[in-house]
Amino acid sequence: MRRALTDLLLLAVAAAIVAAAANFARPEPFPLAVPDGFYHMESGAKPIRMGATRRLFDAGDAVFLDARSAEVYVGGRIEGALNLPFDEWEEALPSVEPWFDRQPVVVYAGRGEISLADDLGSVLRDHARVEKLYLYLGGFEQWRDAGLPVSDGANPIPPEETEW
Amino acid sequence: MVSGGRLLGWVLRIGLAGVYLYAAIPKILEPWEFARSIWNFRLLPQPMIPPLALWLPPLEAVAALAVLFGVLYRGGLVVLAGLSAAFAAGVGSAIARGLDIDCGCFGKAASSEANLPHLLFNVALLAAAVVLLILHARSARTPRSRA
Repeated sequence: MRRALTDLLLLAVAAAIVAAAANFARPEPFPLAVPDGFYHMESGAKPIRMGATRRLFDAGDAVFLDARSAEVYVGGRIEGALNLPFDEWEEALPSVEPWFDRQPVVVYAGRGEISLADDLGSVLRDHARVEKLYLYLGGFEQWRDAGLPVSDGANPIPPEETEW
Repeated sequence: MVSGGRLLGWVLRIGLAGVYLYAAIPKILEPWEFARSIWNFRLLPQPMIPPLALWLPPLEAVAALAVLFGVLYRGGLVVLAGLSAAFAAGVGSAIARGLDIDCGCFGKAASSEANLPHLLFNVALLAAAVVLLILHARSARTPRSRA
């Protein structure tokens, strides 16, 4: 009996070591606490935290989409992010769609607004040609508070009017 | 010449370990997916889910390897039996509550609804582990009685 318990304990510890090693080997470790909104996500977007979002931002290939209202967006956003307010997506989608030649697309909203970003993700899944979709869980405030690049003002110029 | 019991033992051993290894690897690679699968069952408090999503798939893999290679063999079988029983109970409770969810047992490798065939599959895994435990107990008794 005692040996059986020792065996179980050894297996449990070995599993914990493998779990820790696998998690540290990830580009972004899976957190031990996950925001509530994550469990309700339905868009199929891949959830990412600040580290992975930063890497996508630095790589310069991703399109960032801010799901918040235009009024909030002009007050501050992730640098280079476009505004596609979920509440007005039908009118706003054609103006940002030309950017989707670039992938992946990263959607985000405000702190604690995962469901808003996820709703926009569902719109993109159903109505736009977006194949690689990520959702930044931390939201704009986390990004700004970490001292990462932000900007303000209206949507940037559409890509057909600029040279990439 | 391999006896019938020995052959059955190896078939069950390779089958059980193979299923659990196949199930574990995609879940180790995609903990976000697995965390959502656990949450879908609405059985555990949220704070428990992320640690479980990280630890459970390696436990499946380690126990499967233990069974396959015969190191901590009995412990591995007990773990796989326990996991099979827990998964069967989870799927059974989802069916009883009318939840229309993916079981998440194989991560992204294979989508499978938490339905009756899936419940029976888990019961079959549990039965395989129990049979292997019985065979092991018998083979462990035999040399001692001869000595």
